[in-house]
Amino acid sequence: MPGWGNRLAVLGLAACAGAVSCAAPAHAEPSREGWYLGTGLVLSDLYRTASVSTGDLGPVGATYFQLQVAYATPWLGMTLVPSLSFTPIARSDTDQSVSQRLYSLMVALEGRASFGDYRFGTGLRLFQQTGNGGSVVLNNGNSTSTFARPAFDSWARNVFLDLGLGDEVARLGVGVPLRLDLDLWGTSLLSSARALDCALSLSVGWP
Amino acid sequence: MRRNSVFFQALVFFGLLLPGAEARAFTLSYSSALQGWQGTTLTFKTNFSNCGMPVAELYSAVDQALELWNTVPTSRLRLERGDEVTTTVAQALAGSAASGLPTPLLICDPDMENTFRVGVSPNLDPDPAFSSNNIPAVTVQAPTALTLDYAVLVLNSESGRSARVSNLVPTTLAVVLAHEIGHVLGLGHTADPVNLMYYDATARTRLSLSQDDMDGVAYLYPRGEPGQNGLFGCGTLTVGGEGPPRGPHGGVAALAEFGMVLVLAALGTRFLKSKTWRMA
Repeated sequence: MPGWGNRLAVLGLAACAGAVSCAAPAHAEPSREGWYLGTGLVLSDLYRTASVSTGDLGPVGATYFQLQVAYATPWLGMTLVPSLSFTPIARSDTDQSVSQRLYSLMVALEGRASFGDYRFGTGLRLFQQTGNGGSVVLNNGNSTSTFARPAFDSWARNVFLDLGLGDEVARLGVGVPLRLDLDLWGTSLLSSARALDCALSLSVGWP
Repeated sequence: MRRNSVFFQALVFFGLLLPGAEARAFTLSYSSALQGWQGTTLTFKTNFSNCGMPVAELYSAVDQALELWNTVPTSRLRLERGDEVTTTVAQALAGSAASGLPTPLLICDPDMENTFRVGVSPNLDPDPAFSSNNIPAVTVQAPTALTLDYAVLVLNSESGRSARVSNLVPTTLAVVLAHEIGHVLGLGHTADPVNLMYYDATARTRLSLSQDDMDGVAYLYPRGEPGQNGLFGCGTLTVGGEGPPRGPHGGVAALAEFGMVLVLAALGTRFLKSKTWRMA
């Protein structure tokens, strides 16, 4: 699995970079307005978690799929974009002993520039871990011991700052806009626990 | 044409990532109902008088190990090194938090093999096969409490033993300490050698946490921003001593913090709007 993690990370980061470079129409358009429903990925803990047994860091910690709903409306000459996202597919281990989900609520202000839409905002990220209990026998010193598996629900809350870029990349048949967005979420920025997550999403709108 | 190409590239990208849910896990020390230590700060006392190596080197390794666990953004717990104490190994292993024992405690044992073969307290089962030749450290806890309030981290300082802490290179010593501190926090071993909580640290050349290690400590000590913990990690900047003041707490403080963020956002908006010559 570590091999997969590395490949995913390279793909993810390449796609993030691609999203920045390709979301750049040569002409100006008005800011968006209306509802957007999207899906995408959250690549968590960029370059801060061990990915191999030597302890060397990998580019990405955990990867989550997320669904996102957002509403864009004009405000103060810019676009106010509140959004809600969650991960419908829980990240879990092979024994299904722990399931993990992310939920996030974000408010961002979006502006229009020659390279596309830029935005900044803040939000609240909820990290849910649900344990199913049980135990497992593992190596311990010169012999083995029985270790417990988690059995409860645990919720961690982090406020994050968001910096994002995005743009309309296509118009579907009936004039529905298709957007590609890239966001960087920074948590615990004033401490040694600072971390960056990357969210890449593809969304359709019905203005 | 170019936009359609981008669309299909994005679809291929998402498709490639479908198998991307990693399969890993963490465990807890001894009970599924374990709730960890109470509070947001945990101070580790030390007795390094019988370690057979410069105390400054041990302090440095301990500080690195504690700081590692302070880097988890989803954890509320802040670890710090406290005062040096004179508690003996026998007193530490026989004691409890209720008896006034300084805990958690890091202590060197120059007679480690005998200590663990005999088992000198209700907290320690005798292990006649225990060998201090390949075990540099052991964490002893009271295996019945669901809320942790007692832990002794015993370091091997037995002369002539290869696993003696003075024989370890600095990085390995810090890794061993960080692993044992994970046990003090309530984490158990895992089956994945990527994790710091894997039972064998031989292959590890870098002090780091895996996603599972971070998830484990976040499970036991979930961070509660805003309100319960300072925003953006305020108050988790350093290790050692009494540390900086904690961030504000409570609902009013949380609202004030959010208000501050909104004011900053509004000021940023005004600034960006003033730069209309840069906008399309």
